[in-house]
Amino acid sequence: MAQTTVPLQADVFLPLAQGAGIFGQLWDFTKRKPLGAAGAVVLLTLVLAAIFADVIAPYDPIAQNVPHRLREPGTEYLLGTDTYGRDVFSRIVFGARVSLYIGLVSVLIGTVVGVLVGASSGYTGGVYDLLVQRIVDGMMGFPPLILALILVVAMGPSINSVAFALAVTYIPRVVRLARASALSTCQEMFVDAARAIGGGHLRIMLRHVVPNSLAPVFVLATGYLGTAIVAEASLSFLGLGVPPPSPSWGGMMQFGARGYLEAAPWLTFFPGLALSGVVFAFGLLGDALRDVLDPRLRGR
Amino acid sequence: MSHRIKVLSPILALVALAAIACQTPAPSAPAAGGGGDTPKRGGIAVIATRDDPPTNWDPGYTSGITLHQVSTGIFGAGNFVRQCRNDVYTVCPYLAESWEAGTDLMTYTFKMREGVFWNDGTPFTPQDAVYWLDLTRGTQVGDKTRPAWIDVGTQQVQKAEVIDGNKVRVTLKERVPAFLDMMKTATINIAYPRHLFQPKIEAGDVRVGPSDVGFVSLGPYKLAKHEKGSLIQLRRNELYWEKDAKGEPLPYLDGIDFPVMKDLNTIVAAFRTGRLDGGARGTGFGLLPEQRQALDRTLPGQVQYAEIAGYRWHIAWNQLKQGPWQDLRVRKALGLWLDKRSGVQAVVGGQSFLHTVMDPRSGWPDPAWETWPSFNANTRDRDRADAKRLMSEAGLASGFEMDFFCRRSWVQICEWFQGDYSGLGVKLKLDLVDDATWTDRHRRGDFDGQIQIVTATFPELLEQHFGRTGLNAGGLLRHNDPQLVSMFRRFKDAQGDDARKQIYREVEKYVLQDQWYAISLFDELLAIPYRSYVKGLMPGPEEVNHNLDYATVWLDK
Repeated sequence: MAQTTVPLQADVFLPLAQGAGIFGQLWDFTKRKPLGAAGAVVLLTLVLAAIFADVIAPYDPIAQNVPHRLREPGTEYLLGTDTYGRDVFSRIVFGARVSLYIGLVSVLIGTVVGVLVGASSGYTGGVYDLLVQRIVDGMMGFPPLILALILVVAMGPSINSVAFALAVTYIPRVVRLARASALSTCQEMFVDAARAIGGGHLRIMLRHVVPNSLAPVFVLATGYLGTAIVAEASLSFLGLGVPPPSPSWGGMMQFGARGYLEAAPWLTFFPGLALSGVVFAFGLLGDALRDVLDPRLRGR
Repeated sequence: MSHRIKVLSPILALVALAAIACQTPAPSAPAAGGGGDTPKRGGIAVIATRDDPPTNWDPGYTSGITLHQVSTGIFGAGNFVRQCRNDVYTVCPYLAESWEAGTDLMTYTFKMREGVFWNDGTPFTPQDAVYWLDLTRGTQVGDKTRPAWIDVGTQQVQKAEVIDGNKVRVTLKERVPAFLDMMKTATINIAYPRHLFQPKIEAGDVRVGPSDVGFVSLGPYKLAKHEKGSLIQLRRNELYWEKDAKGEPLPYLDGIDFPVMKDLNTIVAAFRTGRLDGGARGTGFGLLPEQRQALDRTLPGQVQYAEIAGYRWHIAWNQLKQGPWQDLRVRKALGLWLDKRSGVQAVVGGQSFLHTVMDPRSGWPDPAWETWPSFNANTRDRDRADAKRLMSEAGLASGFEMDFFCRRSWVQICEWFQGDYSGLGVKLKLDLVDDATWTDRHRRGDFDGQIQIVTATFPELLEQHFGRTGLNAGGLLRHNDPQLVSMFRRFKDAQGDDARKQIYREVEKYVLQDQWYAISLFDELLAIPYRSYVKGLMPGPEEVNHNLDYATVWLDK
């Protein structure tokens, strides 16, 4: 059976126009994957909105102004106001911070823990591998949202507990992927060479196995960022996400669905639009990254 | 006590007792429907219920709108007495056609109504009523115990006995001037047919409930079908005894179908498309003003709303825990600061009204309450300035942080005052919990500040919210204030309603204005939609369980 080998480090990180500068690579990426680039632009906008929320948002997102409650979208309030008279646009902009924070933190924790556990499991094998994989089986037996819900209930709703809970649901998937990559990488000549020159297990794992197992994990991570943001919105919709008054898109949608769907649809529509836009953008970018990083798809 | 009051007291007492002993209340079922309409008989009303009732449908051990919305039609809207159909604050006869109170207010003798039947055809007797009262106080068969009911009325009873063949004499453990008020509660129902319960209890099934005996009952309807999670059907009890003002038998309807609908948006959609004649009652199932406007636009002139008050929101601080709220100046500042009228707009879109502890329409509250600080719209700015001054005097000019305990389903109101308090520098960290956690932590007093709904149609009922900690594990206040405890003790010695009113007003002022233990916010009106052709509903101004037996309801179509 033909065996596909994972490319060496240099190939993994420079899949685009080799030798070109960063802008050249970006331009090359845009030409080859315009939809992916569009997704990247949306996400860049999200990041900028999150960073410069204080400048972009015209109003304080949590300050109540009851006499201005339920104003329709217009010139004074771009996307209208909620029942407390808070500006929906400002809350969406600040909500981007929450979404991005939870997405990045959960993916970062999940990726670091998952890669280390998965790679060590694949590299070490034996009883340790067996044990880790059965635990992973157990964790994957839970629907991710239910598992996150249980963890948040146990820890109490807060931005950090939501991020941690989502990271836990992500870890088993990364472990599986990192282990599979590690198993494949361990068969490579350069690993044998490292062993032959007396490299220790820890060094071989950290310097050779882990870096060469990262490419598919990156693709998974990109996709999971969107999933994590949706999961946070789902938890907030169930009332278990970020506690008020911090704005979160899921919480805002839940608020709107509490009897205002018809009378004030903007309360639900605009946070929903932001959420679906970002998830769609993550999907586009993730697909494009997979295409350029996966050697089997490269060049298509 | 002044000399004048001492002289007048015996006279007032005699007058009050005479009034109680001689009263012959009006029939409980006036003509249904308004505007002189003649009720039409027949038809099936379709009214949503928000969930299935608890397992054995026993009103003695469980209470909640999911039970009473359906079960009141089966068990009836009272016991010996009931809330009058047209006045929720007044006692009317029900299965007893009249009563006499002893001069010591420790014995009550009920003359039982004749011609009442269980819906399996067995006559209802005074012995059945005594049996029910005995069971509500618990029983023991071998090593199995049937616990006593938890409601405030039946737990006052020491002994019940049949006298003169058709009367039931009830002897209380102590003097209880509010006994009839307690018993008129719509959810205290005679739901234990002796001829079916006793054999089961003797066989060891000491926890037998209505569902174990086929729901044989006394109400205007019988349970015809229950498809769990889907549909509950009631059909007319042809043996029901009650008649309307013209002597026509009740109920008017052939039956009621209760589809189980757990989501308000679903209910509104079904109502709009004509699949429902009425919405579900219960917290969270009332329509917002915006939803009402939308319905009125699509169904002009075809919708009416039952506006039911009684969801009186109160905030209180745990006096048994250390914190800035131990300082009266801080409590007063917190009370003065909140802009209740702004909350009425933000939380319920104006569909609400201010109140003290009880509904102003009940006649119990101090008539001057609207002029009190924190209630008076004209002194709003001064109140807020005073609040800031008091915080400064307490050394908290820059505010403080505290946890605030709130049910997750109540987040909207909690979020409002969280925002409002930020102007005073008070940073509330909302501690949002599910219902089970709320109940558990509430009973343990594991919170700093809390919000709760306080409902009472007579003042003695407030003891469960304001009484001494230990008696009020589920109540609003957590305190060990002997003065407040002694105020409630005085209710037991009160001579007549004026004396009770006086005591209530002292409690009200003490809690809301002298000690600022609690903040009365506003009464959220529950707006339940019904099609205009649904007549004879007669929902009370407050009390969500009022007239839920649907005996006088008819369909004008």
